[in-house]
Amino acid sequence: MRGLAVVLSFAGVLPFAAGVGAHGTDWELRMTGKRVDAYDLTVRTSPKRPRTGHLHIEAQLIDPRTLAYVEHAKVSALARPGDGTVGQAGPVSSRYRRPWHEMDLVLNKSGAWQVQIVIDGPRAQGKASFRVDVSN
Amino acid sequence: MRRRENKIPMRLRSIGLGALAAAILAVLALVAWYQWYQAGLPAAFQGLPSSYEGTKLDQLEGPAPGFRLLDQSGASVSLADFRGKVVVLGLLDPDCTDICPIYAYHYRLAYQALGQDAAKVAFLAFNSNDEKTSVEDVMAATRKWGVDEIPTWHFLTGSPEALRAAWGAYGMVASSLPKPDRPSEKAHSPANFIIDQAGRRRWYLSTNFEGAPPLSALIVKHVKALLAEERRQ
Repeated sequence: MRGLAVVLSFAGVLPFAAGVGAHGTDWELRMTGKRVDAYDLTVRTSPKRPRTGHLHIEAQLIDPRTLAYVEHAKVSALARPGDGTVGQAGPVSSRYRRPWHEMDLVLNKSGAWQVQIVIDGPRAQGKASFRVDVSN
Repeated sequence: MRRRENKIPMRLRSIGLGALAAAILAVLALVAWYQWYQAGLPAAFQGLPSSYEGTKLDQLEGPAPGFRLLDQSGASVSLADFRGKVVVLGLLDPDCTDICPIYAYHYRLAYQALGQDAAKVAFLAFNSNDEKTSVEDVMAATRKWGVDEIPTWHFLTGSPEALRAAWGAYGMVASSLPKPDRPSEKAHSPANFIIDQAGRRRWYLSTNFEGAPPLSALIVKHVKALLAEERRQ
């Protein structure tokens, strides 16, 4: 009986694991198609409600001229505390997993952070920022 | 070695086993519900290949199901009003904060990329939220997502019964159950139909932006093909 319960518990947990990962549903859309120079930038972060520690960032670039994903771009992320105190997370460079440029930052304290995405692509360079509220 | 006596009374054991059985049933129900939720969002957890171009619906006989609903400005709109135009028809929730804003962005992008051909295309979406059915609800989302830049944009709403009839006729799924991670939002199909100038469903597009070409690129490709088909006739 106990063994059966354990197996069933895992069966219940496993489907939810998909929602916890970067490509599941536990993410927050930070900007949608924001024009940055010649590209449109969409950014989402995971988990949806960030806590101190790891923040996963996914950025998608579209060239509105060709309606294609921009794959060959250098994308990086940097975060600074929003309360004006000295501190910084990153910069970290992205790895590309079509169609997302993925990055991971460690935000080591609670409060507001300003995250900056820096783009350096074949046709455009630019920056975009968004605020992330981190809880303990 | 003396065997340990079982000191737990039979009644307590029964209660314990009952609680365990209830817990197992609860887990099974949770799994079943979650799997149903994922089935309603077929593309939400699965990457699509870069060769994805949608599902061709040429084998569907008869015209696309008709409807008469109100749009974001309170105007009465039916599918027949768009005969002679290509119709892009989606399913969006005014409260949705994950996929819908991205879909709306791609409608804008497609509209811009179509240039002069955009005048021959109408962008429509059914409201998938049967609790936010007012004209004001769909107008607020229209403005929030910037789709009011599309002159032929119509975010369609109506009574819950009329909306359910409209989704149902297209096989779209919209749920009264909340999304697991967004309790204030409801799950629905990430569905788009492309209906030709004669009112027939020609393509079904459902992308989660995990590997398939951008939705805007797929819309533009199929719309241009239908317009070229019309020119050849």
